[in-house]
Amino acid sequence: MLSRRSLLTAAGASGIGLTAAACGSSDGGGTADGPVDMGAEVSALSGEISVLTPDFTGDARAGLDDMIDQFMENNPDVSVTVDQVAWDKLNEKLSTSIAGGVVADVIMAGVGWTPPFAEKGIFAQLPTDYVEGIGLDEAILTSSTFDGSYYSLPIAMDLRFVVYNKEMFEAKGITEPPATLEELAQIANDLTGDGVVGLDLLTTNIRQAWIHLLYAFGGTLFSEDGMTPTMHEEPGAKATQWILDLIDSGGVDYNMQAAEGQPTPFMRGEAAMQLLSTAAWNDWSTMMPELTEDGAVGMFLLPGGDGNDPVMFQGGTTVSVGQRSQNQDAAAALVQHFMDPAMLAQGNAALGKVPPTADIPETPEISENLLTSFALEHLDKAGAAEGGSAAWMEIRGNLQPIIEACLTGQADVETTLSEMKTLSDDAISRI
Amino acid sequence: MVTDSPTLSPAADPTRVDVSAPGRHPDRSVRQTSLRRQKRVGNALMLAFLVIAALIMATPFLWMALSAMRDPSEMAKVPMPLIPQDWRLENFAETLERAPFGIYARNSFILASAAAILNVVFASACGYSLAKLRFAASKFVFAWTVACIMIPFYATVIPVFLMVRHMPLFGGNSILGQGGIGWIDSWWALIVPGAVSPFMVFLFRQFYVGTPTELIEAARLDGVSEFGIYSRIITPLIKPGLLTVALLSFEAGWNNFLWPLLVTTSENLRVIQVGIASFRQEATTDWHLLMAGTTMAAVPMIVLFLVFQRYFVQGFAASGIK
Repeated sequence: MLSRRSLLTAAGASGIGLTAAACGSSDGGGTADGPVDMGAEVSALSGEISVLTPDFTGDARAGLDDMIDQFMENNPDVSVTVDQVAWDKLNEKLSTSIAGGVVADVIMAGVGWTPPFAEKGIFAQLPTDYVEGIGLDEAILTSSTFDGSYYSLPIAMDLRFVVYNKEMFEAKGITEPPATLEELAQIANDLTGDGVVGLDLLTTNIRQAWIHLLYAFGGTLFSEDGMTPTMHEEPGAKATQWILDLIDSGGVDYNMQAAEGQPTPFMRGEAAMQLLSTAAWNDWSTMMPELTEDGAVGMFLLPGGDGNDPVMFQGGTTVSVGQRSQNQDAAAALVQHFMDPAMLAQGNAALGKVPPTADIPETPEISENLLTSFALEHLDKAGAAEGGSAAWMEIRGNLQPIIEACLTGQADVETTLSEMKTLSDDAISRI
Repeated sequence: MVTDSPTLSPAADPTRVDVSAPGRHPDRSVRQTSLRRQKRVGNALMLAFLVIAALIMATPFLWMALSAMRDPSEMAKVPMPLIPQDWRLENFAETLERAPFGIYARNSFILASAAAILNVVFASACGYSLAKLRFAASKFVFAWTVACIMIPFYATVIPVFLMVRHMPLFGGNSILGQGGIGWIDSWWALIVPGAVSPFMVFLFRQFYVGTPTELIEAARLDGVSEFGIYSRIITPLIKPGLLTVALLSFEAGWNNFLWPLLVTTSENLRVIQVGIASFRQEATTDWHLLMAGTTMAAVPMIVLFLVFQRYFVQGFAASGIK
């Protein structure tokens, strides 16, 4: 018969076994510290390299394959394999790859992921002169840095701003988009009523909406070195209170978040404004093509609070060279290839995302996408981004419930900010 | 020889009771009629309850199947019509065009079949030995097996990944498992870690415990080998168990997503669940194609359960796990 003692003994033995197994070596190449060489001769490049990407799924895959084919035509001795992984499993894939020492040579990841993986020695440092030579806006490049150096490059952006229903604005006699957060709150309240909520702030992503507002009030998530949380300071309190005030007045409805797959309240005409990402264009095109017509909707950047400039939230995909790559020169050459303006145009046309620069050849997919066009006009304002600390991957998943608890009245602003600080301090202490 | 028995009139038959006769159980027929009516009403209520419960259980699947044939713009309608107004069977064709689903389905079938066969073979042998053989560490091994069931997959994924990656003499590895990639991106990595599941060992043990030990003793006296007893005498007695384990293992293999994603990099080793995930992008999802892909992926499992459900339920009932 199975006794409690034997069960506990067996459980203990299993634990020891797992611990022992977990202590595997993590060899995987490894190269010297310092920036990678971005200037290797084509004739010197050979061998195999692998690309890990969470993007270019479905129809977009052909676009990536074509970009790689062009690279291999120019570098005939290099072969490239692609490892495609779902976005929501990218962290697991990277983590197990790191533990097993088999990390890809070129890695695509999310905005905010750079400091954690640079700190772990997974992303290689990129030469500053090369990165700055590409000519990307400083606002776009901020999230690619760690410890004062560049470790990734933005390749396909997902930018966020506010869209509004022009008819509803006209019906209320509103002729201009708001210039401040106070005006935005006033307009949201004015537009609320008759089954319409003024502003759908929370559908896209509550955590990212809060961070967007934090930056609009002039705040940041962390200090410049990423070792001290700053999200709990005054701008954080103002951002939280701004949302709570709008929820109180009815201008924002916490319960109005669209479930996955559903059209958003803005698409259904139940919200007059929405904080949305440029990726919404895909849903509009397939579900409500009338919204994609020129002049159908108005757009404006989230205004700044306390006299700050308007700001766009920056999400999307970055590309890095693997620090443990056995063929780093070829990997660096592929990253350079991806950052070529023609490739940026081709890749983003396939993905429906925003290239990190407007200086690209014209493609109909990009120029006809009105959300992308608006974002490209304001790339210099894309300064709000997640991340900024090597502990971010540990913090980000736990930040959302803290914000939600506040917005649903389970915690006051002070408690919320205090919990954010504790969460961040704990995670940073484990770096 | 057939003999006709004499027919007695009701009045002449002493064993019969004339219920209509005055003074003799006047309410019995009424009571019987009432009982029959109650039974009929009870059956009807039970049937209605079961139909409603079945519909509730089937609703997500019906919704999935209907959404697989909707136009994307129809999903934006408020309220969304229950029945698709424009039946788009081409969603299935479009889904198959978007990714190499033929390769994915083949790979899933191989993975699921291998999981079913290997678990039936190895887990049954383990279960038999834990149930019927006496050896010093049997209790410890059984306790360890049960404990292993309780360890979540996420806790073991990195250790197992390391074992796979450092497999000696495979994928360029040395005898010490260094230098190459081991079993990563190979069929070995897909199949071997799932070849024996502790839960299936436990399940088999429960089946074998219920078989008569006397048969084993008699067979031993007759000189049958231990393997012969296991394979030819006892295992045939637990056919529902074999089928239950085979179906559960097949289902687990068919639905496996994270492990194949972690240990493979090549497109030609990817499985159907990974293919379905390709319809979800960072911020958008092609719901009509996702539903079409999921519907197609669910069909083999639904057919298997429809065909084998009797044995499956019987198997679970026999093992005492409900």
